[in-house]
Amino acid sequence: MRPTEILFPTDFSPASEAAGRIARAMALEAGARLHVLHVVPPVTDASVFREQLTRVGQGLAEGLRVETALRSGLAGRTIVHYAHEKGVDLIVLGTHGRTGWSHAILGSVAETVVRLAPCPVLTVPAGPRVPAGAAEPAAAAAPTPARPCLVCGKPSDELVCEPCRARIRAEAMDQKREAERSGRRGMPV
Amino acid sequence: MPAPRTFRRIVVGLDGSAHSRRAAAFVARLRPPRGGRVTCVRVVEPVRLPSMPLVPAPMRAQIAAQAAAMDRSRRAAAQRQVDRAAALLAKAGWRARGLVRIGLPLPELLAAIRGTRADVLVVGARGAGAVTHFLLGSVAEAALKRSPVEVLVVK
Repeated sequence: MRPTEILFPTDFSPASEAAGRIARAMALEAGARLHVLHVVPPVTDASVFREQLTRVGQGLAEGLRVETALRSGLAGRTIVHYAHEKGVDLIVLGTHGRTGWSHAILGSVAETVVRLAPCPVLTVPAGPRVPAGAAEPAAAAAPTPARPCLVCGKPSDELVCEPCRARIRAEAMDQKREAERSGRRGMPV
Repeated sequence: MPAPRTFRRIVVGLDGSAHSRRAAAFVARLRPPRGGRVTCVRVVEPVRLPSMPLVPAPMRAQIAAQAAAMDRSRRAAAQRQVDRAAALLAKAGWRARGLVRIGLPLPELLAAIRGTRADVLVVGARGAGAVTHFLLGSVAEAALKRSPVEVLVVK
């Protein structure tokens, strides 16, 4: 088996950049075509991302056949649909590694893809990782620009800022307590 | 397909299911890089007995002995399986070895990754769990979230 079509879905995050490097390495060594896909949420103007996607595609293109695609829809399902459509035989995908409550709220595209994909899926975790051979300390050390927090929209170093995370955690605790109390009420002593 | 240069040390998680065999077969199809090594890991959960305070001591001893025998045979079966997978991978040119660990599947799998300083974990999409999880096993799912390294989920 030799993969001829490798799909690299990107959300332009640092997590997906790492996945892009690995996807490129795999495509180069297998002589496969690399599909770079970005999915925008439904009813969003996709043209804004066209330029950014082209730039990512060009960044990976050296010595490779690269095909970029911009789709709109629910990210997970759209990626899987694209994989079916193009006969993709390997998906390389970055994960943010969210767990617990933030995972439940923000969902996990990676999980949907792994569940539904017709082919093997390689997930690349975010976060600093020192590969055995070539470390890239410069890239790892660069400070991430402040982006808006996904919940409140204030600039934050992280995806969800600390106050929001604390609030989410508190809500989760309340809900858990509530659920457990009602469970006990019905129990025979 | 050649394995990317970054994947020199691979951990394959096995659990006796068809999907995990496919995971091993997938790695066997990759062309190994120089010094590429694979560790086939199978985690065996020990048989855990309840405390049985009301059971007479001789009977308790008998049950414990049976549990120990079960443990032994499961370990032996696991060892045979990882050795078989390792032999398959060795034939493909990898430096492969089998490893049986005792404990809970996910923590032991992650410990094996750290222990072998692996840079990718390969698992099957579904395991041998009694209740077939919807398209993705619980260990595979948890590994996706907790693994410090790349995870390749083979269907």
